[in-house]
Amino acid sequence: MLNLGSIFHCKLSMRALSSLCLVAVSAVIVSCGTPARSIDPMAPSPMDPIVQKPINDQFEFKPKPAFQYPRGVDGVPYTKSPSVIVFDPRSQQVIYERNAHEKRAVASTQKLLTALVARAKNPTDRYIEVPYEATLLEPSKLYVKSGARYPLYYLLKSLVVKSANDVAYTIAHGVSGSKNAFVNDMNQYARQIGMRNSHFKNPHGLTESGQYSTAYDVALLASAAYRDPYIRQCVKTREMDFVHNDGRAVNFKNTNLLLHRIPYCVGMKTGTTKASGKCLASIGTLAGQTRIVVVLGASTRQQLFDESEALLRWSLEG
Amino acid sequence: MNRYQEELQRLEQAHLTRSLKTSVRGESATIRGEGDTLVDFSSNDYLGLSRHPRLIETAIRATERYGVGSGASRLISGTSPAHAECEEVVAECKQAESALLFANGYMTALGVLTSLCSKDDVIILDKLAHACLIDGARASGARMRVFPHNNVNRLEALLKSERERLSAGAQIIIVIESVYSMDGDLCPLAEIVRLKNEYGALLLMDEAHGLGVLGPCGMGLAEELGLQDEVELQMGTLGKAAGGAGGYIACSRLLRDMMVNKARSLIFTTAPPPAQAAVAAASFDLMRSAQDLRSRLTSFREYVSQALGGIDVPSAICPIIIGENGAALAASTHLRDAGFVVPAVRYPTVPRGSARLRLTLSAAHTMEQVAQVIELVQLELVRIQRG
Repeated sequence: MLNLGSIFHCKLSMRALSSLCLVAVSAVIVSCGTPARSIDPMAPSPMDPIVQKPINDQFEFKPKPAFQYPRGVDGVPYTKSPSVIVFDPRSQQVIYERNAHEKRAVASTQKLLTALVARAKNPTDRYIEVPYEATLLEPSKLYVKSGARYPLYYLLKSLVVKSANDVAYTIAHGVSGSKNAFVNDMNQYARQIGMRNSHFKNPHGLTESGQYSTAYDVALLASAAYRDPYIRQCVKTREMDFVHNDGRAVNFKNTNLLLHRIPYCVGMKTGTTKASGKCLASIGTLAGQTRIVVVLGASTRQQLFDESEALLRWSLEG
Repeated sequence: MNRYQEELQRLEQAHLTRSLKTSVRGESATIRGEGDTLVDFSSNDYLGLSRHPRLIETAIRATERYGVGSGASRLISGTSPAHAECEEVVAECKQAESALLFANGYMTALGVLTSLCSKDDVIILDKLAHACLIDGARASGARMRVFPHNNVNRLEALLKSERERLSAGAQIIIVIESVYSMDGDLCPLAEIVRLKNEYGALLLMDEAHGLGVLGPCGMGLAEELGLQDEVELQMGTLGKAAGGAGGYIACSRLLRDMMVNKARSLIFTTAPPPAQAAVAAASFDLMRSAQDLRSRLTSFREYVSQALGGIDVPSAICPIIIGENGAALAASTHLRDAGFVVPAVRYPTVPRGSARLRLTLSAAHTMEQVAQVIELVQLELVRIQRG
């Protein structure tokens, strides 16, 4: 039995073991041409597997040392990324920022907006067909086949977990009829949630002249996304199986490594292009407090996740 | 009606209100409910068998064969071949002459104690014995004595005084659990067996939280210590590590016959569905050969022990004492916000001032899930300590 007093005899911060295999999540099997039916995306699919996957994680009993990161004179973790913000989504207050209003490319973090617009405009059990143009997009993609049909809730989950560009285009085309119409919807929605220094030109975040946002606006976007119960569930999904219409299953892990590094990180979205650098919006909740951290333009993945972890831990653990 | 409203308000003010939450159990020890998928550290599904494909297949086949219900009490026409077969399997596994199935663990305790004891007898219970054992003892009409948790000296004193007081034909039954549900600790079985023999008492041990987890074949603490022959009444539930539902007692034929004739919780209720019994039989078979799952669970216990400063984690239950009801509830809520279900257990389930987080481990967890929940627990404890 553990009593409160004994906790100080042990290390205060145990880290998840990065070498471990990750939590398996439910797979949803979808077949081509399945007629649309009313599906509650929050409910377990009747086609969810009912058995556990083989457990193959390894045991390691030596905990990693507590995460430590250099801090500046103000006590805030020292970060090099060009644009960062720590944001309280409940009070909508900025807790810390540096160049948070600087306009920049934000890469795939803008897929959160794609998901929000899709949720606002269509029921999530609607089936959407993959247009040919979607199959031409590179680089991050699921290789969905032209003409295949998937329910929107399934595409949305793949969008935020895998960050697939072909899926983003498919959603845009299916929801608004064309990419351009969807982009108009995106910009309209962005204004509605207060993103005043943003302009979007595509649903996936690939580099395009005249497309920009800011760390502050992405924090507002993340805040809105987290209020949506289905997106909230999607962004914290650590791993999923995508089953193509031909029965081919692809397993992929969430690109947001903070889900495995911080136990109270409950998700959000990565993004990377040459123009934007490495980007991450992340959210954590601890002891009744919730914080959003946005880091834009990091040089490396290591820097991106280290700085994001440092800021999230600082803002919630002190 | 005002009386009920006032009572509920009083409970709410004391942070003691309870409510039912709907959830769906998923794979990898997750549950889905209220629009969220959470990692479950509250379940008693210690081996993760509740979703085992063989048990699911068994349930389907038995349902197809016998239907969904038993139709009558066990004594009328409700005893199916599935019930009989399951009782044989349980008796064999527990190295007992016979076994008897009940609808659930609560009914088992009630049925056993009320059929074997009456007002001339004495039931001596451990202070932390489960509510079903207390209720069973009360319903029997026997004299009830309680000894402090795991205190064998006090137990011996009680046995001595009661044996001197009782007439020759009166029965004494000692009632204990192998693993205590809210503290996760084990009973000192060998010493209690010695006392039981010395004072001519019967021993009822509930293996609800030991079955599947302890012993080389998962048959519980009695098996682990080689004392199955010494426990006259080996009770257990089929809804925890066994993954299904129901309760059982393994005992001599004589005691079983007494229960069949006198246990009102067996006689005056419809028999549990045959599929439930069929699943239980298959589950016992699985548990006997589930060394890999028990080994995995042991690894988790060792990890938690080491991570929490070397505390003893002898079972799959790890209580983290917080103290005040409000603080325990807040800690549980914070863990839930982060995606982990670790329930707060409060008075009257545990003594006042010892509200706690009750973290239960399962072979269905992943190492990462265990490591993450422990880090969160540590952060909560630090927060509470800081005030």
